[in-house]
Amino acid sequence: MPYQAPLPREYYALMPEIAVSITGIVIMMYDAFAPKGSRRGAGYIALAGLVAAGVSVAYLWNESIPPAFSGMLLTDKLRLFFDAIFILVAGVSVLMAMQPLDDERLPAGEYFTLLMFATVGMLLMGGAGDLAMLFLGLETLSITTYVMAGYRRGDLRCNESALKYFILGSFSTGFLLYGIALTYGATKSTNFLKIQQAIASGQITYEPLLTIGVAMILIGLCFKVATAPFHVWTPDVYEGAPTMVTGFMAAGPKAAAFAIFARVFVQVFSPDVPNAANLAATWTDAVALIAVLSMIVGNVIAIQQTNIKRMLAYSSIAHAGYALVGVLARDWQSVAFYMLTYAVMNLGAFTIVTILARQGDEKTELDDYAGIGFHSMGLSVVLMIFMLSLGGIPLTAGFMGKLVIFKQGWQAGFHEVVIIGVLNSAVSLYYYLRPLVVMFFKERETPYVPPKVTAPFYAALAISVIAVFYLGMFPNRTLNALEMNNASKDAKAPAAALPAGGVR
Amino acid sequence: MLKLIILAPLVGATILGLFGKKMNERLIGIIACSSVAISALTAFYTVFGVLLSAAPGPDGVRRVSEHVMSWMRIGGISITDFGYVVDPLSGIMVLFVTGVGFLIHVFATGYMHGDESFYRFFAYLNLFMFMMLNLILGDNFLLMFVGWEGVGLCSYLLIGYYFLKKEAGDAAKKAFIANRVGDFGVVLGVLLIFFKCGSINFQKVMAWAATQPMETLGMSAVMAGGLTTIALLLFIGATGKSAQIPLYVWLPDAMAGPTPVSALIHAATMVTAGVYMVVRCNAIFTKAPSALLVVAIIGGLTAFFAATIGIAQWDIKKVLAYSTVSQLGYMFLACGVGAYAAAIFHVMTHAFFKALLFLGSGSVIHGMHHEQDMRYMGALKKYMKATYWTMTAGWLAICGIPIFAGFFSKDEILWKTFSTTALPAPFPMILWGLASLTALLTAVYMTRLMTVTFDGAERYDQKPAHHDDHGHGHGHDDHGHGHGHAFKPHESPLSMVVPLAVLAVLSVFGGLVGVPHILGGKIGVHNYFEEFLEPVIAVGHQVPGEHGAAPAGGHGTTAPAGEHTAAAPAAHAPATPAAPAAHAPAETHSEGLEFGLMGLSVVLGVTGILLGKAFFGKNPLWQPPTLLEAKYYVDEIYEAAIIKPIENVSREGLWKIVDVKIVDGAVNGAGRLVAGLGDTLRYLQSGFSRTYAAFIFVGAVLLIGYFFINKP
Repeated sequence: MPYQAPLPREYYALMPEIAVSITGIVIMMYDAFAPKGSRRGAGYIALAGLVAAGVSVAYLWNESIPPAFSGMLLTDKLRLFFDAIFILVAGVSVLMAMQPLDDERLPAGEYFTLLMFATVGMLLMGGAGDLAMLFLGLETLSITTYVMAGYRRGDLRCNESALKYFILGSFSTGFLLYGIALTYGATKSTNFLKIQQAIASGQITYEPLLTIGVAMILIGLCFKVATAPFHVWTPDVYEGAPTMVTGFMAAGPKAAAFAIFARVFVQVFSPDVPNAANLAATWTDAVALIAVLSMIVGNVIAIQQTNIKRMLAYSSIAHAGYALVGVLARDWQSVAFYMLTYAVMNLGAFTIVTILARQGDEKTELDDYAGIGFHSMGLSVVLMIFMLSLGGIPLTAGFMGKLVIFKQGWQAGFHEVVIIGVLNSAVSLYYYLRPLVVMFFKERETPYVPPKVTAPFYAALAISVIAVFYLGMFPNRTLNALEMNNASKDAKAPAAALPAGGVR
Repeated sequence: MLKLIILAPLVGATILGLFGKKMNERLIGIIACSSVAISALTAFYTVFGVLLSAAPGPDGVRRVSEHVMSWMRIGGISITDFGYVVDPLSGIMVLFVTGVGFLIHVFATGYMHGDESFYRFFAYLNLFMFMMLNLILGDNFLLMFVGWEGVGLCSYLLIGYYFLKKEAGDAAKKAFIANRVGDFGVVLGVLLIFFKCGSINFQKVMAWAATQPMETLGMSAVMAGGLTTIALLLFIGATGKSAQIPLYVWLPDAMAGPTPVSALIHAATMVTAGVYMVVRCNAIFTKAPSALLVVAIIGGLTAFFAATIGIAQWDIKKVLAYSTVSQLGYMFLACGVGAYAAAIFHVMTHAFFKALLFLGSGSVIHGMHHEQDMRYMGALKKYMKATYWTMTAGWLAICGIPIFAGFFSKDEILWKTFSTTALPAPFPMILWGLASLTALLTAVYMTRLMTVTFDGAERYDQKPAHHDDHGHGHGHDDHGHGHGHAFKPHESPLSMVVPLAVLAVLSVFGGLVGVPHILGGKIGVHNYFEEFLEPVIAVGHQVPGEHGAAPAGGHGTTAPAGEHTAAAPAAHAPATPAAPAAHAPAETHSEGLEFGLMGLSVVLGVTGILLGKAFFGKNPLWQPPTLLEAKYYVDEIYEAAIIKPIENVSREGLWKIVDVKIVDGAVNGAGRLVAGLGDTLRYLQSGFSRTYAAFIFVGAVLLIGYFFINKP
């Protein structure tokens, strides 16, 4: 009689989600019962829960766990690497939010609970092995994010942001859901593996159903990652939401959406699947177009922005365009690496913006940054690091991410897209350098009091800065973990395939 | 272990940079000096204790290497195996860099005494040591380049150390920009190497270069993008870092920095980085005769012109600066004629005597309360005995008086130039003539410096009033005694005199490690220096099929020996088992000729000294020709030909037209366009959710339509 584990093995695959969910509930309880003056603990509980989730991801890393819960949950490197990104993003977001919540007397417990549930949504998206699970994760994430975007209830801009995000988000979710339904109609399954088998064996009920289904899923995901022309919500929502929420939205949900982007388009609708070559060629062309459009729209409009949050919103559109190059190259590792680099530098930048914005996010215009360079030397220099990284200057994470993704794109033959991407990142330097010019070379007309920087901010900045330089200078370990250095890399099959087995 | 050599100064720099502000001078001095001392001791142990007993590698080179990390591997780009390596070449460099560096650190504790930001100075100085060691010990081009840029940065920071003085700030910028021009060449060269060879590891690149065919002499090879192009691109970098024509202009101005900096960075170590790089890449240069010719000509010309300018300068440090440029010219001349060992030999001896002379001048400046103009010195022999006698050793060394270090290295270069076979016919003779003339001039201007400074009458009070605004970056203004009345120079403290004494000993005897075969052979003294360095340089000379003898494993002895017998009669064959290959070209000339030329160069040196003594002893304030005093107006020409046009284009073109009209115009125009087009574009980002939804809907329709059309 073999040893019977206390839980079915399947549940191990769910450990990170369980850890974060319990944390969310514990925070709720803590917030309800802790005496009023002492609620700062919520953030620390959140951090502890995220550490536990991180440990369980690390544990799963070397385990080989078959698809769990009837193929609903896949456990492979794609999921685990993205899970690590989500946990990192959530952790930095917690650190970023602790002080502002305190300052503005916003309810911290609920905020961190929402953040935890959003993280659960992201984790489920990373592991989704089924369109239904994908949708579940996505909605869990979206609904919590809608609430977070409007977290400063008394602020009109905040309300506007939340409502817009909600309306447009629901609208685009409609596309996604309809796409899922059509795909189900065509393949008679929502399970990725079975969808693949159906396509491979030619057992499609009605071909156009699948085509439109894929197109609609693409639309839904493009909305979530904010690529042109489905980006229109981004600037308004990013600008209106509390800065710490914007930071989280730009890093976390975007990465989560890219995780399913990679899962669905790189793995499921891959041209390696028999009979799928046409479909793959079609989505490839469409994604190439969307990538180019996003880069251009994002960068060109970003140049004209005078509000730093709006500028970063357009920049995030451009970055989504760059990341799509990895999808084109059908190389999820480069997408994952790119999202990691983007997450750390973007979180860092938003942390600084949060610090400088003060209470109520009042100071987010570029003019508010005039001449602060020599008053808040440390903050300015750190912001400079993040801006240079976003612009893709060597020795920073941003450069390495672009290098990896453009290199894969080039090798996969998307020369035009890569050339446009490189030119675009040159253009982007113009607006990334603007805040620096303003900070160091512009005279300040209004009085300036350096903001108070507390320990959680220091921690968030330290993590981001170290990560930016670590990924920029010594990316080898991370790339090794992604198995990007394997000699068998060119034979796409092993890396790109869905983990099989255990599907009933 | 190699990591310890490198990291010790970094630790020192970090501690001083972060916490130095609160420390007293004594503690700062101890930290700064001991961090370099640790490096130096480790380096000495590595070279003498480990390297000498290490087994030679398959290519005959002894190496002590240490792997640091695999840097990155992304798809096809693979830059791995970052490490440090000590081989004979970097071994020699690391010994004198850490050794001389340590002495200069000690000297600086005395010289900088009382400076307001004492800690900042030593933090920079330690950082410089770290970068310089990276440059020397890195086992690939990229790590070398990190060091290369790093020392450039430190040089910039230290030249501009007295940043409140406009002169220092300008000099720092000038140095930085001149070096940028050169560094661009290095970057391109390294990229080209990576592109052609697929590696940037020195060992691999040199092995690759050795297998390449010899390139031809002429313009076509220069433009071909092969080894000649690589060599010339690298050499552009060398002209920047090592102050050669046309980029030498920054070095004299760099004297605005504190004198220990001039001694360490702008005489002994950093400026020789270019020579080091050329020697390190000798396998590439050997295959590129056009590049060698360029290197030799530039080196020879720089040596000569800088020496002529040196005669006409009044600032004691400027004289030494031009002297440095001139001596660096010698080193490149040696590289250009293929005498790499002689070049490095001169790098080393020059480090000894030039550091000595600079520190001596620092001691003089210190004793004179920051007076640098020789016109207001004189008769210092009386007051500064130790400084005088130690500087005398340096003076005789640079003049090439036998036994002194400079004699052996300089004579080696002259002889190799005369006898080289690496250059086409008339050039060896012309360059030799130029170099010999330079030797004479060197003796003259150094004698002038010594005579005007230490002999003759006291001229301390002849200084016109308001002299302070002619301010050559003298140090601490808080020192500012109103001198002129009853002013007495004083000898420097022990912390400054002891390093002088040690360097004086090295300047006298340091050349004995490289006694040429012709002198030492009879009494059984080898040219240890060349024998030690030989394997590193032999790599490039193993032209496949040329001599037939493959260097199969035998510590570089088989190939040179083959060369020996092939080229020369038996007279030289039995010399020593490891007879250096670089002697090979010499075999066509007789031993008598070598003796004759050696005698001639000694005569030139002595003549120069006697001439200088006789002339400047009588007229210490002889007014030099304006053309020379004004340095051939090179700065003015650069100003008019390059700097002004760039400024004008930047201001009138780039700023007023491109930036204001085009860029701003585009941004403003875009704004107007939006307004002009009515609400169409604006409508898109109107803030209304219904517009956004419509936008998304249109996008969706287009996308779905596209999917439909594309589907067969």
